[in-house]
Amino acid sequence: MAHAVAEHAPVSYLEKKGILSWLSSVDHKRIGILYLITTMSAFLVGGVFALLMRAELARPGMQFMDPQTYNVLMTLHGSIMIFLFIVPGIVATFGNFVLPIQIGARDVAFPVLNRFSFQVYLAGLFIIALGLANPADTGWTFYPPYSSTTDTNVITLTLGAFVLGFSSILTGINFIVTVHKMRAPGMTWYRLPLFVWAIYSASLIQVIATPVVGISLILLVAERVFGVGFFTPALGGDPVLFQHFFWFYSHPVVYIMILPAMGVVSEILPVFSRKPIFGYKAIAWSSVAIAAVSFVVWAHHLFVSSLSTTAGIVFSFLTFTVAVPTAIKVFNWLATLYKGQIELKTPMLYSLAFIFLFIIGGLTGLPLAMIGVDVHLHDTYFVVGHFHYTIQGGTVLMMIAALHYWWPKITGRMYNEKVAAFMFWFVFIGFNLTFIPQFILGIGGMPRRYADYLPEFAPLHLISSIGAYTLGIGYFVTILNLLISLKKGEKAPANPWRANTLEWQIESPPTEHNFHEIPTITSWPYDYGQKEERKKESL
Amino acid sequence: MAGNGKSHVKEMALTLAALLILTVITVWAAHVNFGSLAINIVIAVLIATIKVSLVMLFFMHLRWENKLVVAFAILAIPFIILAIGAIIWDTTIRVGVEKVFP
Amino acid sequence: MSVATAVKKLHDGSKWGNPPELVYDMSRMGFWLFLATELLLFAVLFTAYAVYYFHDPAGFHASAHELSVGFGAANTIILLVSSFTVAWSIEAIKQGNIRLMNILLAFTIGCGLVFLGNKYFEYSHKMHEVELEAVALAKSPALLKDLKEQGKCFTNTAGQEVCRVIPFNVANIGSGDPLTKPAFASMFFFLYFFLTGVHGLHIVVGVALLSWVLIKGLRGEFHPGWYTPVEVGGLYWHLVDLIWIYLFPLLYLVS
Ligand code: HEM
Ligand SMILES: [Cu+2]
Repeated sequence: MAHAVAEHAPVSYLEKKGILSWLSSVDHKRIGILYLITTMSAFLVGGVFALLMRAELARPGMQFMDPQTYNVLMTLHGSIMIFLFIVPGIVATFGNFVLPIQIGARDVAFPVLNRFSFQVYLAGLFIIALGLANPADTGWTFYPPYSSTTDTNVITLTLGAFVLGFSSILTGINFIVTVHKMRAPGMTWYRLPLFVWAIYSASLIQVIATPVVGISLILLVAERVFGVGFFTPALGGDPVLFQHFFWFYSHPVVYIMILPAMGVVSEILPVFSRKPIFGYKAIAWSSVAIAAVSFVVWAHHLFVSSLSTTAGIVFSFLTFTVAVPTAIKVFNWLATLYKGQIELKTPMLYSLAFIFLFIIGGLTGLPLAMIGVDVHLHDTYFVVGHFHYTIQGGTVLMMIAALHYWWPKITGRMYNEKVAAFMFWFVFIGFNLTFIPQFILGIGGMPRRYADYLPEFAPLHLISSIGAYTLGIGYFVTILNLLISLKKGEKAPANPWRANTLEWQIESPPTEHNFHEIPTITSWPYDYGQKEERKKESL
Repeated sequence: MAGNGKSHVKEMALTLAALLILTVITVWAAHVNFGSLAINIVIAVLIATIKVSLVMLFFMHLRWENKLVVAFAILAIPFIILAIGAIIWDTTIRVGVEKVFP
Repeated sequence: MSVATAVKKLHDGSKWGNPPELVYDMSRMGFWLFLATELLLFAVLFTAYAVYYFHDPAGFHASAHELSVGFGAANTIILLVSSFTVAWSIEAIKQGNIRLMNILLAFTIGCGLVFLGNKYFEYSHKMHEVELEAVALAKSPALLKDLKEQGKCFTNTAGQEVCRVIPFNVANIGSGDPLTKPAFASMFFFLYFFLTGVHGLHIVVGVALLSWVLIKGLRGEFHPGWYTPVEVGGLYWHLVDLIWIYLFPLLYLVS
């Protein structure tokens, strides 16, 4: 696999200035940064919407908005967070930036296609923005028949989601081929960093699941445009069919979100506990197993939607099995920590929080997977708590961890560790304060997607709102701290964390072509601890 | 590249002939009753699947492809069977189906 | 890959830093993955077809009666032949026969256009009033009642109850009353138009893709050491064929 050797004197990939040089670039690192900027902006907007909702929910009764505004905010919050932020989240940002370097390549397999994916993403964003004049109020799940009768702009939102899905498919294809074909000599599958395994598995899901929801959303658009009633019972349509299609994608998609986060954890834990990762193969293959199993559980979202009882029992059982590969990972992480020399740097703090929060998220999924219990809990705040523990406590926290971990590499600057670590506690405490009350609310019967509630829920809702604002401050200052470091931070060394993966063996920030010479790999990247010195010599 | 490999035109011409014959059989089979509706449909889909396999094997070169490409080519098939199979299965036994769709 | 390196000026796909063999390999892999997504997309539509067929078999049979098997069969043959010619064009360029490749590509594109022409005739027929068995409308009782009141339903010579309706009535789009004025007379016709419409869109994309390949071919960019775009374009065209092979019996032959 000979590559063209860099013709120019090596310069940092950040060297060329000007917005055009960024938008026209096919450099995977620059595309990763573009994704980082857009996804984090989406996070900010979605976050502001969430805070507005929490403000309204702090007291019973309506204070700041009418119920319709609330519904719109809720829909936009969900759609922006899912389609614009978290799905492209770690895969498209850190996947783009880090994955090619970690496998010892100069770029992804199809650089131009990679740029095209981003352009398609922008197009999707633009289409969604077009609909903001009269934004949709259906919730991010677009369930018909409501979504085909409401007179808000459902069409732009669904079309936007379709286009974003296309971008996601192209990115997935690109990464799969990259991992298969662009690895450096000696980079065998079992020498790949676990982050690569995770992104690879997530990419597989992206490719297989996304077309299903894509065409279903187009069917929904057709239903609205032609007035067909494809999913509307009054016109002979079958609404449960939509739910089947929707969740055939949208359950696997939660693993597109969480697998990359698990990959980041698997990178950070060994580095900051100075120990080899425990159970490499188990972690690697459990990623693939999760990807596979995630496709056979979707109907657990239909337990109360007139799913047949037989199918319900089967899907309930299958859902429990997802917990197995997930638990395998958790135990291996814990074993990695055992007797390690733990350094509580910011990325490590977030990773430890991840394990803690994700266990809660996963365990609350199990009662939801039991049909009888779910009849009571479905569409309550319990579900809201569950998926925020997994998505936010899992993926968002690891996105922040990844930002801190790779920040020196990406920008060439060190962030202020004290501020970052201090703000972590805002995030961690704020998060639990927000979402633990929601479990209790849900069990008590508080339905989700309501702008108002009964007085007896007031105290817990108030706590939740206070938590949300603590969390908001935490995120805001954390990101501000990173941005300030761009100007004020001290210059980062090539390898501030003494990590072994390839991206840390090159300059910070990397040069345009990553490597001066493509390395030959002789061992896996997790020989921390006693073996570390030996490893350094062999590299 | 496979540039200097031997030509497969002959195999492909035979494939076309087979496909055309199978098309005739498809149309013919549609006018014959094999016992029940379900059997008729299964037969039609079966013939179509044979045709599709021929196209994939010969026209799309899967017969001569390396294993990795073949693996990706057939990657979708289990998921297609899963989606079609599970959703139809649930639809046919869903409670209330006979009320909504009398 | 001696050919491309020996003659420097030849196109060989190495513009982005990867050798042509690798690009050839990666492109096939990547494109097959893309085709997998396309197959899944159509699988959803087939699932929907099956589900609604299950809900209303009689209506589907009666509606499918309206489609002309002749048109469907003709289009099947056109696609099969063009699939063969595009596969042949790849064999031709492998042997270095650029002229033959160009001719075969042009022929394939021609087939695509004829297919679209056929579709146009078929579609326009369905946008005018036809005689439909009343059972086809059993799932839209309001529409059936409305038609009866307008005196559009009668018993034909074969003793069946039939109604004169427009399967796809463009004028009804956005009528505000989908119950008595649906854009599509029955679920079957919606599925028919949607499935063949999405498929037709793929034909259009395929024709565009092959035209782009043909232009490159006419410029002499391909040679036995570099023909990846021809191969990829061909794969896409075969996909269109694959889908049609299932569509034909499901739509045209269920009556
Ligand atoms: C042990 C693993 C898990 C199990 C057993 C599980 C189970 C469930 C069940 C049964 C539901 C449906 C609840 C209802 O609507 O009544 C649900 C909802 C949900 N889960 Fe999970 N889950 C697991 C992991 C995850 C992960 C890792 C994520 C995300 C990264 C996630 C995200 C969600 C979301 C977003 C919803 C709600 C969707 C909505 O209705 O809007 N889950 N989960
Ligand atoms: Cu789920």
